[in-house]
Amino acid sequence: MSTTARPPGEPTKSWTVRVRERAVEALPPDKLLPDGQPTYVASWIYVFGVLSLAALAVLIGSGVILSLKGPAWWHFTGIGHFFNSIHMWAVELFFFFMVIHLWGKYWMAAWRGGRARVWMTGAVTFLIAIPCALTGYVSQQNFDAQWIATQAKDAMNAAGIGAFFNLTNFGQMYSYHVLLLPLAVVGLVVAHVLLVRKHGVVPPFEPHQDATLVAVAATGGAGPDAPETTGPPA
Amino acid sequence: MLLYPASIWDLVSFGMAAIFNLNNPAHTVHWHFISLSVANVIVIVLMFAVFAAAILIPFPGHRSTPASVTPSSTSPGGD
Amino acid sequence: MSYRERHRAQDDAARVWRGGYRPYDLVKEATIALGVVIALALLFTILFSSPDEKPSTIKQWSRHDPVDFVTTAATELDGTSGTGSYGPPYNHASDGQHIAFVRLQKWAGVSHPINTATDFVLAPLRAVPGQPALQQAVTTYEQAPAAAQSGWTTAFEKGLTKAKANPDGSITVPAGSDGPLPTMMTGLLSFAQSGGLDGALLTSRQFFQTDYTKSLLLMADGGLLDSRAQVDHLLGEQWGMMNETGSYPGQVWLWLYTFWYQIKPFSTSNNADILVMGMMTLLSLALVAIPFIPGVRDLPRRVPIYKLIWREHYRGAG
Repeated sequence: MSTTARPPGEPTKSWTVRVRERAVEALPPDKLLPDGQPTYVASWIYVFGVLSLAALAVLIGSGVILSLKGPAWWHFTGIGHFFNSIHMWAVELFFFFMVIHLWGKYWMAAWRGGRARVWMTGAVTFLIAIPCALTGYVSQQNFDAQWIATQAKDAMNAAGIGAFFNLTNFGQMYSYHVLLLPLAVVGLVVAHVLLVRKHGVVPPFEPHQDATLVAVAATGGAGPDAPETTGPPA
Repeated sequence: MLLYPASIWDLVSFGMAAIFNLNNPAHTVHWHFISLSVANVIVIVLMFAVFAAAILIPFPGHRSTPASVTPSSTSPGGD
Repeated sequence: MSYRERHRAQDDAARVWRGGYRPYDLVKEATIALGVVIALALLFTILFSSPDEKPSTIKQWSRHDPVDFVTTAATELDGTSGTGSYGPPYNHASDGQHIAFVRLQKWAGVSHPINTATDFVLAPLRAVPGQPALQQAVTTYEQAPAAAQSGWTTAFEKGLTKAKANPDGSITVPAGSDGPLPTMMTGLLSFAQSGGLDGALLTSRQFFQTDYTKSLLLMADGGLLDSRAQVDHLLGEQWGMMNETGSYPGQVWLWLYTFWYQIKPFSTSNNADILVMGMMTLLSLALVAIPFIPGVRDLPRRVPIYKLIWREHYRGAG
């Protein structure tokens, strides 16, 4: 509900109105949840983004159940072990789908056309997911956790990170794993998906049009807002 | 040993014991200085195979020419 | 036409798609994807479950290999153990690893101070009640000059190379000029085998604890964790960073991290960890910055994988 009843775009001191107008301008509802997609989106490679998202959802769901009963539960009950298994296989699926998604996006050069931030948020998500998984592995409270903590600590210590990120401190690692790093991953994924919604899926390379484009640009001709051909090239 | 199910969850977890026991030390694949567990090799091979399949297998339907439907938004979306 | 101008023109052309669209149900696709992932996770869970090898304890270690335990304890006492000689963040025994003049390990400081002699040997022994001979031995050791302490531990460690484990869990060490060491180590071994050392190392600061650093470092200084890891192919030279216990798939995404450790100069360097971390930091930054790296960002245009991905589009346009 808006109480301002003023023409949009008119200067306002209200932070709320400014935030709302910027958000709606960047992502109007039909851009946030579109019901159409470009015709070139016609390959199975395009499903790996949403599969990665789904795997993340299963990870978080199974993680919530594990955290409901505390870190020791899964060692002593069959149902706890069941949810631990779901969580572990969801990790494998998450990285599996995410890496294939990364490969696909690289070979499509999906950063083109102002989409550099889409690529960068995706890459950072991958890089943050790795320590998120590491903190999970050292929170298992079994032999694997003991081994990984005592080995990986050397890499952390050598880089000075070990001084404030202690892999052998279960309480700290559990906190990072259950709260801090999932928040970071989810925050990055939200930013990544919103940027995809904003910029759209990257169009294909058009090698046969490149020469024309180069010539047009060289003469200081039409910019990106000029009408473009949508059918076969002339 | 579970003599009788004390709750529904005992029934569930009893039935959920793994079909294949992977708790033995892994077999490894050695090539020059590379040493990988069989499970990891399977994962890596599957990744390449699935990627190849994803770009090779035809996507169903939608072989009609473009510009047949305009979206409700004015800017691109998808994926 | 310069590379930069051409790249700019191509990039601008990719900004907005003005071609055709077709209907698409985003929410349905996400729901189907969720169903597929849940089904796969359930399938793998039912087929394979997940690993859960029980953790080692100091109690188990000291009972299973008492000679190794006592040998490790002696090196903790004289500071020559892995932890004792580690440097930051545990102590100042060394400067730690470095790349040229960059000494991140040293600069980060000693944030988790551990005095291996006090924390792993002397303080636990002081907590053992009702053993006056043992307490006297500890007092003798603590009040002796450093040279005497060093002489005792050196002689004891020499004897340990010929030590034997007895069926009752104790060990027999050939006699030497080792002063109060045999009494102290017999007491510590007995304390460890009762489970007391596990508890003492965990709750030395306060009742409620979640920090297992001392227990884990003591065990890692010995041979038990290593011998279990070797069976499970988790050692560094076994590419263990990628592996899981048992025959489960592990952390395949760590392939490049562990790769560097297998080749020179990393494999033979005392600074291997910081070198690998530095290398992976650079490569990670490069991954993020691909849109800005000429050559790397142009490779997709030169490799015809895109022709397969967009073949329907090119067919329609051609």
